[in-house]
Amino acid sequence: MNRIKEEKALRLYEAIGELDQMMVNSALHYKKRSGISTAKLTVIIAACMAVFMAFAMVGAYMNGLFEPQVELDALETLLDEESGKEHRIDASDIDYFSGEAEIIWYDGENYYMKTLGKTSELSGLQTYVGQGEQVDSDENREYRVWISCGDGRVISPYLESSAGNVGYCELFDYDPEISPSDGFVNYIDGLLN
Amino acid sequence: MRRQKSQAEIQKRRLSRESDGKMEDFQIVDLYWQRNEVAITETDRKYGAMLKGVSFSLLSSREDAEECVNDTYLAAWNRMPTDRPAFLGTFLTRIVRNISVSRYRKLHSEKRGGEGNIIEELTECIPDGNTLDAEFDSAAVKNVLNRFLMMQNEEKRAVFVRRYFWSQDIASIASQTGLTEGKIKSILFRMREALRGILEKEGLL
Repeated sequence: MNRIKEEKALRLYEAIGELDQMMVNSALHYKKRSGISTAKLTVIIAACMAVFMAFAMVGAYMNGLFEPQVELDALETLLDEESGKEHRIDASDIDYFSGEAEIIWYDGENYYMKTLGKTSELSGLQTYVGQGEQVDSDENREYRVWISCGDGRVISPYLESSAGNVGYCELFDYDPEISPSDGFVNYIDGLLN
Repeated sequence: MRRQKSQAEIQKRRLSRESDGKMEDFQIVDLYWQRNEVAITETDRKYGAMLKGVSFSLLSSREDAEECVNDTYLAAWNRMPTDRPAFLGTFLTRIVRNISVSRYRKLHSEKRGGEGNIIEELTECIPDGNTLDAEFDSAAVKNVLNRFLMMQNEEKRAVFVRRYFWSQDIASIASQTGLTEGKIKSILFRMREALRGILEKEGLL
């Protein structure tokens, strides 16, 4: 080793001995942090969340695809064709004593209403309502249909005629008991058009 | 007849009953201030091995290293009181380093052989030049060193200080910091290069 360089190195060694005391002590406490850095961790979490969101969206879409599709019956199909914005209503705005019979339906999202005619003039309504084939309870069926008679009474063509199946001034929920008959559907079709 | 126990013996047994058998720095410093010779025993217990290691890393001789450490205890005894170091380990290490450097110079002026690894490493920090200034601005070098190390991240600073102040070998630094030996060697190499550049730029050494 070059003698001059050696002496200079010794001087440097001595100068290192005069380093700041806090720096010297803190060096003994340093230990490499285990695991991954904060930046890497953030990226990994963001990536996991993105994957999770993608799966959730796919799952929601698939759930929509495989959700049991409920076939609309004749009355629902008829009413579905009338489900334009012009017939959309807020259920709280219904006048149950309007003196007019109104058919009100709910498609799972919105309420719609169309006037059938003066209550006093709709004798056929009484004939057909409450008639139809028995059906099993279907939890997936979201459609609901009521007829507000205009005198405060509310009935549903999906319920058999009985005193217990009449509501007053409310759109009551129900469990379908019957499927409206063809006669009823034709009668309504005639009134709507 | 029961022998009267000396105050020092009683105090030694009481003070030595620590959970790990070693006293705290302030307790040892108190003993120095009380001129209680138990201070030397406790110092040797706590720091003896480390101080010998620091000296040996420079002198490469056990006998010389032990002599330097004994001289260190004497120097510490003479300096306390008035000194009351907060970090006894650092205080003692500074003393043993200085004593060891003096011994190194004396040995090497006589023998011209047996190079200390650490000094050999530090020659890589020395800019090229064949002159040795009679006056050496140690304060300037110290300032440059402090600034240089402050600019480094915690990891690099710790490795440098552990190697060149505490004279720890690469394996010890690796096991205590969790870094690989390869990484430590790489850090030290780059830092020596960088320090050399700064010393050259400042016209020091």
